[in-house]
Amino acid sequence: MDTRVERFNYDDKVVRQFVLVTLLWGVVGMLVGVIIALQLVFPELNFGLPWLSFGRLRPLHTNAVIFAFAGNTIFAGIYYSTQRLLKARMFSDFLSRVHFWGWQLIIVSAAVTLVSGITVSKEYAELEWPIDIAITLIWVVFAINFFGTIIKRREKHIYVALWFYIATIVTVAVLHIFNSLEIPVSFLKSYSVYAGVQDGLVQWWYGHNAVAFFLTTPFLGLMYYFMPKAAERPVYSYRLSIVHFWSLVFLYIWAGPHHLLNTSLPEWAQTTGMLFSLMLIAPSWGGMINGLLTLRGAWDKLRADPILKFMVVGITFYGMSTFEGPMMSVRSINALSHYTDYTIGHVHGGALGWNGFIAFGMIYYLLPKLWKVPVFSKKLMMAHFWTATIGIVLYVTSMWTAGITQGLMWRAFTPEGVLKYPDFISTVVKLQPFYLTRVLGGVLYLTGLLIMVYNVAKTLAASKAANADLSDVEASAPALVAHDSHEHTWHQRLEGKPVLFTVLVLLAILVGGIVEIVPMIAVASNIPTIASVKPYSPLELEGRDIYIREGCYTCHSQMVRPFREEVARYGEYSKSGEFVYDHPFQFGSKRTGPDLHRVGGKYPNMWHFQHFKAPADVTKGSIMPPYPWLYSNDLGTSLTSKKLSVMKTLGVPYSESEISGAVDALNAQAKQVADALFREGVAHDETLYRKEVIALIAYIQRLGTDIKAK
Amino acid sequence: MKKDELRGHNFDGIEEYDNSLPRWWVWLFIITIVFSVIYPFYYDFGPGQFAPETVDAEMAALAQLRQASGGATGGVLDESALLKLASNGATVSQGSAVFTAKCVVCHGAQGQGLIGPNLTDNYWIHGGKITDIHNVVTNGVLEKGMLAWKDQLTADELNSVVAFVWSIRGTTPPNPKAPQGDAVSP
Repeated sequence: MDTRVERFNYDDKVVRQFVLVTLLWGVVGMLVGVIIALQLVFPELNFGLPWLSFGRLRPLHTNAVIFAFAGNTIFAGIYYSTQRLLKARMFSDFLSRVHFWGWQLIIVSAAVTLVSGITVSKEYAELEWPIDIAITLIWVVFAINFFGTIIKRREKHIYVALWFYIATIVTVAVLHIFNSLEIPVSFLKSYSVYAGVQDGLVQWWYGHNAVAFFLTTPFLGLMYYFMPKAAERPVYSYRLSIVHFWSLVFLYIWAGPHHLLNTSLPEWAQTTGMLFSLMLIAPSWGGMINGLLTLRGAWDKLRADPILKFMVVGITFYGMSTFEGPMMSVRSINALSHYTDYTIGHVHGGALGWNGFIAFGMIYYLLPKLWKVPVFSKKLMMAHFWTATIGIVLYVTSMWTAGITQGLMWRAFTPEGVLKYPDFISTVVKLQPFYLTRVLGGVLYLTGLLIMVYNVAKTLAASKAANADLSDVEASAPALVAHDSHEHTWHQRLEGKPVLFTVLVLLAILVGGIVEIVPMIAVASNIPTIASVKPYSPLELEGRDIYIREGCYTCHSQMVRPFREEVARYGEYSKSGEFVYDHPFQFGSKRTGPDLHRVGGKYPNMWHFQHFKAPADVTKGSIMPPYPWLYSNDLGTSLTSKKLSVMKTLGVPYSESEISGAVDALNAQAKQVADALFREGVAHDETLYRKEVIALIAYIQRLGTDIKAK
Repeated sequence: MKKDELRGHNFDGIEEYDNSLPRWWVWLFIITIVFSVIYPFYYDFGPGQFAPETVDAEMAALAQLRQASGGATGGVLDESALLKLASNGATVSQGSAVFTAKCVVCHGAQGQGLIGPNLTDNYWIHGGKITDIHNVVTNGVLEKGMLAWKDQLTADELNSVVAFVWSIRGTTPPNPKAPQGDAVSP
């Protein structure tokens, strides 16, 4: 056997870079979170400015914390641990740099476009097509760099952390590509190739698995490396890691439809989503068990070591969220929790508790390794831990309470058989104390992060003052040998064949998606057609694009569920056939305001005209932002014909004459809307019909009306 | 497998035990799988019903309840019942609060009319009897911009705001909107 020892070194510079931007984007993303939380208590903080309004900042918040904060955390941890677990420097320094700078550029372009209202409106996938392509390219760079390192490794077998990294890289690529399929109208505008229920299913197959493969599997990988390292204890059970890894990656991908329970998604798909979510409890808890029981025999360390505190509490939140999630996936429980703040509480338990705390624990662990000096202050680490923990508790409990309170109010009937709270606003006003408590929780969590930033800054200063040697760390290991006598089981053999391993992961994650999505698109009976449902007029389509631009879907659903309380409040429940021209779908996932699917014709044009200008003047206690710019902006019509023709490509039956005459038809309808407003008392204004608000009113008045005509 | 036996392999210093799967964990997994196999046979292929199959019956039951009790719009309160409410000070002041919350945007703070018509003069577009007012508030006149409030106000609130509107007839607030509709003798 060849036992030649090779010398090499690790690229820790890129890890340091990823750590620093993690903190930067963490502060930005959470600050935006605090701002939008405040806006729900003090709507004046929208300032009547487009780029500060809730509907545009909310996607910025979610994208920043998921892809910038958590994303850079993952990259830092993966670059650090992969090199050490494989006993090899990253495949290419050049690709590492491209990955780092490319990702930061994507984040900046995301921030600029989202606040500008450039969005495709699919949650956590809002970015327009040029940025989608950039993400794909950078992800490929990351994949080549990662798998290249695997190829030139000196450790034959890949450790469990790397299994999770492999699952992450492969699955995120598949999800991102298939969910982002869209046809461009212009450089900054595109339409999803899927419509309505199909688009919803693909989006939540993506959305749920963004949680699974961007916020769960990579963090489990980080846990498997940093937890035993920090605890200096062996991992509890190797065979448990095998069983829970494979069951997790196989089952997770099926669970997406639990985001569409009790909607017009066909029942078989809902059942699949619900049951696979329930079956996920044990595989998820396998990770928690392996994390927590690794500390057996070293629990005393927990008292003094803030790094372990962060990790143990983080893993505990993981266990809690992965129990709560399956419970919320039960149809009857979801009926109460969905569209309410309960979901907001759930995701923040996961994001702040699990992702945040694993990130903080990991970074505190890495600081002395990367900058060669001890962390500046252990006391401040403890202060960070306690501030953040109290922050999470306030955040999560206030949102749980708000969600259950509002859910119960929505469904309350009087003994006479009428809704007890027919006025939606009365259920909003009730939530203000909880919203305020949530702000406090968020501020505490952000304060904890700022303490960390200070601690890191002082540590870096100390490193600089000490003139610490930050050159690449040297290591040595025997060269890779072809055969290894340690292989006793089939899985151990598989661990020595990472390419085969990757192929098997790919197969495991493809099954669920194929079984759910392909029939939904290929089998017509899944979406019964409704003859009276017609495509949007050009003006309505432009209005719809304003609805998308302003992020209305962040607070309003368009999906009346088949429950008596919803039919009584909103009208006939939504049918899948009504959404066949909706590229992209606008079901929404949260009702900060009421559902809008049956709002068409419910209020006069005048009401909407006053309401968009100053919602709180029309509905006392409303927390909706005002949209004054819709009254001064002229509606752009240069792309209208192109939009119709792209829709036609996607199967929406517009005729050639409708496409070529789109702008004329648009103006004619706009004048009708304006004339109706004049009749209702709006001061006469020759230019009113050209304003954006007219298009938005036309769209709103069309919503859900097609089946009333039958 | 003995408890806490190391695998004898280390990855960058990390060792692994090869402990058995916790028994309760295995059972948890099996129970969720068994449940998931049974569920569709009851719900998807069996007698179990999903929400779209039951909602119509529930709506019918609600309609029956409403009919039995008078329901959302307070049933059909006749003219004398409404007039009696309008002479009740507590009802009128409750109605005043509802009016301030819901109506002032269009009808002005004192009912003098803004976008919507003046409610204090004796001109009425859709009839000037208290039952006419109740009907307009309940069902709206959408083409003229008046909302239907039956879905947003409880029966009590709706009746009280009608009572309030009745009570402000003949008042003379500043900046009244010009009369609309037909004169109705007070």
